[in-house]
Amino acid sequence: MKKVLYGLLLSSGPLFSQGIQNGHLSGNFQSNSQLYYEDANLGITSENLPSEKFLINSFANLLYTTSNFSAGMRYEANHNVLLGFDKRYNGEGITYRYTQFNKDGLDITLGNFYEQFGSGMILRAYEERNLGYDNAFDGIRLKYSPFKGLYLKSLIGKQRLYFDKAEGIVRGFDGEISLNESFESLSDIKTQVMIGGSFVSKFQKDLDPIFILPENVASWASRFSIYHGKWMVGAEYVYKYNDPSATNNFIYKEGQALLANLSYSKKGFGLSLAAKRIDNMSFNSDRNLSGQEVSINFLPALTKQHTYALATIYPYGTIANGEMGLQADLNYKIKKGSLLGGKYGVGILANFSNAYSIHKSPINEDTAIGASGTLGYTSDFFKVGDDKYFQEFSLEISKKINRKLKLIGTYLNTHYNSNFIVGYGNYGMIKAGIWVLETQYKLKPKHSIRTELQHLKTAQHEGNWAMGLIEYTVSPHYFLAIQNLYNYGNKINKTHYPNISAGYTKNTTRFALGYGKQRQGIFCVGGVCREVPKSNGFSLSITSSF
Amino acid sequence: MNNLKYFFAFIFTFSNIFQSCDVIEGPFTEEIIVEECAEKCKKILLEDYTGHKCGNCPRAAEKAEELKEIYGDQLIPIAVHAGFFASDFGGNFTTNFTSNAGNEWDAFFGNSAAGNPNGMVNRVGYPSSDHITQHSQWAQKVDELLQSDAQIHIEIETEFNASSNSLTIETTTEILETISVPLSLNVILTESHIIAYQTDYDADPQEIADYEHNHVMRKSLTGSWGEDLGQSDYNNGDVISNTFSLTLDEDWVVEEMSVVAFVSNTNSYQVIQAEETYIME
Amino acid sequence: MKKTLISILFILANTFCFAQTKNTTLPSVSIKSIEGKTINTDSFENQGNPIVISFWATWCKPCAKELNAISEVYDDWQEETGVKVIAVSIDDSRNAAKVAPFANGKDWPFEIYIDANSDLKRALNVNAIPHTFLLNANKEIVWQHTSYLDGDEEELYEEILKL
Repeated sequence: MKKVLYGLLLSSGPLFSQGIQNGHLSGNFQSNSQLYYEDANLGITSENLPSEKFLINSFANLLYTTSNFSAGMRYEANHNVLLGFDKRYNGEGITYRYTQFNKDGLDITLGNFYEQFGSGMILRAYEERNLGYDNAFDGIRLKYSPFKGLYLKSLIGKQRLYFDKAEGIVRGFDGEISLNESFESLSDIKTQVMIGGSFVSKFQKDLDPIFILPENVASWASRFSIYHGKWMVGAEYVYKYNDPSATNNFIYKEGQALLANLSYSKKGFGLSLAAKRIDNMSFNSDRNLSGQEVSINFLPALTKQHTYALATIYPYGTIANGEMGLQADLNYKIKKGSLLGGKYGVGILANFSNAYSIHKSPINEDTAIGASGTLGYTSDFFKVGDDKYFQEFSLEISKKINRKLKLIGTYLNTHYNSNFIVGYGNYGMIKAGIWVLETQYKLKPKHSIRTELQHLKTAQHEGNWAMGLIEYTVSPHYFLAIQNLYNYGNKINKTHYPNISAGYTKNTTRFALGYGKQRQGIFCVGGVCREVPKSNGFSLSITSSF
Repeated sequence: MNNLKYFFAFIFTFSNIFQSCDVIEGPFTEEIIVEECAEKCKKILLEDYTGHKCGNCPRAAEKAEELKEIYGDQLIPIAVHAGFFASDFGGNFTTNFTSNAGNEWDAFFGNSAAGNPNGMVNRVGYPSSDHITQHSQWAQKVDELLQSDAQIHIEIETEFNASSNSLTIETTTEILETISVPLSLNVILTESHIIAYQTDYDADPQEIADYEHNHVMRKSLTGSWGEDLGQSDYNNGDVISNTFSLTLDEDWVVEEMSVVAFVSNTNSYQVIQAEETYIME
Repeated sequence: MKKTLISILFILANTFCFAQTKNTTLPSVSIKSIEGKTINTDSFENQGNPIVISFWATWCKPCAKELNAISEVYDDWQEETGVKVIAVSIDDSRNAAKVAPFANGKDWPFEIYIDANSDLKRALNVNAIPHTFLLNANKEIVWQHTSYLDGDEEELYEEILKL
């Protein structure tokens, strides 16, 4: 097989040179590396230090495109993978390669591809390199639009599992119609309507001698969204047939998910409300893997994503086995010139979100809730469970004082139930109040100083934290930042986590070098989280694209 | 509509996937009929890599017990405590269940690196990384391996001297079929019914003070990779005897202890036969 | 493995000399508008004036700073050069419904799109955001920049003026 491939590639060399009249080659590269040192204060000794001492994650993408055709590949080399990433990513190889061509409106992709149906709750293959998450499909994907406004997609493939593939074969079909584009009579009306539906099924052989497992696990979804001037309302409902797997303890219950959105937005004001319910919706390519490595779908966490250091200590990750929650998000800009607005206006961002367990009842007197080899439990669709998993209220006010100075003040109040959210262990409901004050000051043209002062107050877990940061930037190339996080409220060990970093950027190339300590943390994107152990040492990251 | 043919080809090709849906109506499990074995039975070694702070691990331990009930003597489960969750002695978790050999196996086969719990069934699948199996796959692997006959028969005799706390073990390895690979004999001690702390994410509270730890590997008497059985190849009828002796640790309870012996392929690490016996028979 | 790499490098060596003398044109990719309509990047138009495409997300603070900074001087920029700024969000379904309220709440005067499947992001080789592209009248990418430091919008403007 390899020889055939090799031969094909060589012989296509001249072909490529021919086609370059219209074609273009581009690519990108990224490398993140760390040098780890011992640190008595942090409890990092030679025993728990990675024996390689220097770890690196890197990858490079190449992309060739002409008018109707494109091909690309990615080569990854992790020798070895950074702390916090799964060790099965150690190694190197081509982990992504595909060709794609378009003929008469039929778009065909062969090889690896990423895809999302609707919100992703039925199917989503995506990459999040910083999380070490990549569940790309390897197979065929077709996209076709038979007439304006109707979009069809179908795919068959296996998902990536580290440097190999998962066992299950996934088949999917998605159709979406934009009524206003498809029907002439509706094209000018103010209301825009979109309706969509998907069907996904996964095949995996049943070799288990005890359970009678369904080899084809299917799920379907339907969605709609309506836009009317400043209003938007939309929802997606997903239903999954019996899927006994390691994640749900091999119960034969069906799974359901609902995500609903309502928003109003106009210049200077935006309000969005969202509600979701998830019940037994973990859907994996391999029923025996209970992690998220080969998740077919994506269950978004309906909480606000933060970037301030202390605001990311207690992040929420979706609990696939069952949760329900709400989110309300407000964006408002007080006009300049008004009483509260001042000369430049004031920006306000407010957010409230929560997540609760779903209510579960046993199926009969003799069966425990969630017992394997049974229907599991029953759950009333609108009934909320007794456990509060997460709740957060946040308010951010930003005000430009004068041409040189801008202030941003933020307050967060978080309830984080560590008994259910896997990450920190048993500390009960952690209640934290977080304050952040950020200032941006323009010293002179192209020179700016940014400072952050943060404080986290909590009576549980590790206690209070204080953080300070100063960043000096010279546009367009340089930045220098010094920060320190201090866990002064920790009863066992009050630790400092100082860190200094500097970088150089030129167009698309960026270098950043850092030195210092990093606290243990949980890093989440979407609903997926990764635990990062504490570390001390140098870090270097390089990224470029051409 | 342009290119009608494409549209229909598209729909037709993929309409078949709409048929692919299996819904199982109860009952959801079936009885496993285990073939009765009279003598010189094939026995499978099941290694469960675990740790006392690993909250998902009790599920694997339960699975091992469930399979032990079904397969009886033909399944020999051992719990190897190694890795991050086993080496954390903070708070109430002061017991050290790790062993030198167990730690080396874990580092070599990559079990805790792959996330606990997980295990190995006769270490089949190494080095393609198929050797690390989730507890939901153990039944199917054990079932598969029990389809073949025993190639080796092991007998273990033990003699325990209570006053000196010393133990002598004699193993007799009888070859039943020609084997042309180098073989290693591994002898380990396990202890059951140890009451100590264990984290269980499905329990409330999650820290269980009186958890019963079973089949815990305490020590290997043959180093990490076993003792070579001494021949270049093995023929039907060959019998090799080995003797081991040691003094038991003071905190071990000899009445709850067993000797587990297994013979493996020295090169591929695959376990060919295993045997278990209580010390105090 | 090595053979595959060598042969790929061989092809690259062949194509490289030719490929780099021209600018890339904007690839043809389907993304969604904030009204949920599927739009192809081919339809981006600005009557021969420059186009700026900037990748952002609701959780990316430097992205918001860059777009805020540009929105403050946007009127002046448009008067002088007729430039159009298109802001493409890579937010996934966790935040996709908030993109329109967020952009409107900040009073951004740009065209907003959502690249839900990251197709445009991958086609343009974007690794980290913010990443900003400048297209000339022929929709060729003449300049691009990653990350944002206070004052970077001035460098962008200098590049726009060169067109």
